[in-house]
Amino acid sequence: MPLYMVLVLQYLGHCARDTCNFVLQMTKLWVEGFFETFTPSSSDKRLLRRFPVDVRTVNSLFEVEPTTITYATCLRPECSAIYAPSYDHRRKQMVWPQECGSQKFKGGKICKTILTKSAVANGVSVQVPIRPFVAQDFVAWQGAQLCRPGIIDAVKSYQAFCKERAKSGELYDIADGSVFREIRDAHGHAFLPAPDGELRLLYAASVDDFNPRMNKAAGKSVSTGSIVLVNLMLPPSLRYKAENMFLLGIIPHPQPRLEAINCFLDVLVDSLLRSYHCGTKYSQLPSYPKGVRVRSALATVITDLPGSKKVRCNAAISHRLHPCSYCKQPYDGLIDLDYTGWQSRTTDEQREAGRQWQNAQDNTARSIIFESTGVRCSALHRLPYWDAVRYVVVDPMHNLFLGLVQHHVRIILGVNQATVRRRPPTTAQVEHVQTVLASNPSQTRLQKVPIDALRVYCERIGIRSATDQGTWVGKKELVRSLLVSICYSLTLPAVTKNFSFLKSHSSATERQVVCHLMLRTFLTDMVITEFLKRSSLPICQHHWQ
Amino acid sequence: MPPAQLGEKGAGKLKADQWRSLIEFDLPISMLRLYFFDAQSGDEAHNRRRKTMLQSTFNLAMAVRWGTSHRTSDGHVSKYMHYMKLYLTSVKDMGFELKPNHHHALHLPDFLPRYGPVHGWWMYPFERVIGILQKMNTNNRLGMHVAFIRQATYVLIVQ
Repeated sequence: MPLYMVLVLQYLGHCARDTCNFVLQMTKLWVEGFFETFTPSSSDKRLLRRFPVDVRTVNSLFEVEPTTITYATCLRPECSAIYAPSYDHRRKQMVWPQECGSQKFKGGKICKTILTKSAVANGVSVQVPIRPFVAQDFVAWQGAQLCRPGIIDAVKSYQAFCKERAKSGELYDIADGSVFREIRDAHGHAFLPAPDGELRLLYAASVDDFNPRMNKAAGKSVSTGSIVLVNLMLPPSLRYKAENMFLLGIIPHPQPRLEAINCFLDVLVDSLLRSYHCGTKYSQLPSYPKGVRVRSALATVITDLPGSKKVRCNAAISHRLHPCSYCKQPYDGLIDLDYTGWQSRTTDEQREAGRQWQNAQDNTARSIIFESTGVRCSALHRLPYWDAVRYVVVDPMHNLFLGLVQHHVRIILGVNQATVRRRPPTTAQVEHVQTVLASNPSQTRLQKVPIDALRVYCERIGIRSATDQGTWVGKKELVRSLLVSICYSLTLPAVTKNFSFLKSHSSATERQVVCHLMLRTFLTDMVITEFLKRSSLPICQHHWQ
Repeated sequence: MPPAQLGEKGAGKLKADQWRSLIEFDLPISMLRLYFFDAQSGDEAHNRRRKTMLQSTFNLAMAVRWGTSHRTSDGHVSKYMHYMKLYLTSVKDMGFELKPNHHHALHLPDFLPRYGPVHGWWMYPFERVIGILQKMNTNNRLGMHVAFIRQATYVLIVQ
């Protein structure tokens, strides 16, 4: 009892190790005093001798130590390759590779980022990862969970209960959903129900970002990700208890960029693939004294909308052509409410696009595939039963409550509008916009100008800043219109005054000069394409290509 | 329960559960009282707009009710779509810009027959785990990931 009390103090009361050790030592003194009053037996003396005085001993007695593997992760967010350690028998320590050897393309540049740094452990100099990724072992955790009394019985009784309940025709839980009947095993048969002699489990994964500093520390915020699994075969009363949820690992800062998240998802996918194809034979479990083979599969991934884009490695929600991972509506088409006319995406298309993206030989080929499909390769595509479109859900909590209801209250009803209402821009701010435009700005420079001043300036020179329905035009659209307008208004003397290199092109037409100017100011493809559409000179296009 | 000073600076940021309680009870009842039972102003356009807002709020409340019910069926899906489509059409007609969340709200019912009622697959339990992880003491040293993951697992087990 006092030992459990110390554990609770340590993990739930956030007490430091010294405090916990103090409590243990005081408890031991109290027990000694108690035994001095009454004559202790030999077993009492043995208990006193073995009574722990360090909380680390208590940890090992209760066997709460998880089985973990510490991977070394590349520091570059766009690489984030992970490396498992190997055991050096001579030095009796775990060792990791010194440098990252990952290549984005076959035969391409090798990363070569340093992975480890020096540290001291038990008086010995060791090399430890600079950016470690500590992952819990899935098989060990699954075995520990199934060994706990009542878990396997709860799984079996709940499955029987759901089978009876299915006759009503209504769905009361995820176990009643069609996904439990859809997933196939490696031989093409239904994954559930499990055949005799096997136990088959379905899991749901969640990948979510959080700030471990709780936004309290001054300075830049840090974002780390967590990967958590729940066992869907348990009844809901047990499923979401903290002790039944599997924390695979915490993705270390900095957040992996784009497809680099696959390095961390690969750890999960490797465990699930092994469990799906081969299963894990546990030699003894409650209700299975002679052992049983356990197979697992992933039924769904539950994240918010930006998280689902990251996990799938799809285009962002603001992408012009592929904002939605479920249908092919472009961004401008999201206002269309006739959902019967939407063209759905299929898992075969997504997988094929991911495969082509993975096999592309350079960044340009990958960009072309991504722009046309909105898909990069995801680690989840390696699961043979995985439906790349339908198995990642739209989280109702974020979508309905934090999205629609919040928008309805704040924007439509205007509650709390007082804190978001802005003052109209001053004359000085609007004139500043004119100064910025006269300096031949790039798109990035214009994006930094406050939106209200931009709107007023646009209205002044005749660019529409609101649609026919009265909604505001976005900042990106406004900046684009402004850049295209200044290209037309520039005259040759004004340009040559600033760019002496253009004097060598004295025979070029005014628009050809403007084309050079646009290339120099690094305007986006979008602006240049629009300008070229309006201008009819073939020379412009030749120079642009 | 949503904060009493909703709308004022002191109310702060609302949690998802507070928004849920708002749309399930507080907002429809309060708006009904303010816009319908209380004396109406003489301005016709003002009254019409209030009525549209009230209808819109009720459409959203009904859609959320059908979508987040504890049991679901094909009937629930069609009711949800009916009310959500009414709500989104009214938002568009009132001249407000539709966001990506509005579009994805129409994809949401695809998951109801596949995964059952939303209580089995929404993020509330996972956000609770995130809450536990955020409260853990890192001593502002994020390199201590080994200690962090072990402590996180211990906390989940001991809890």
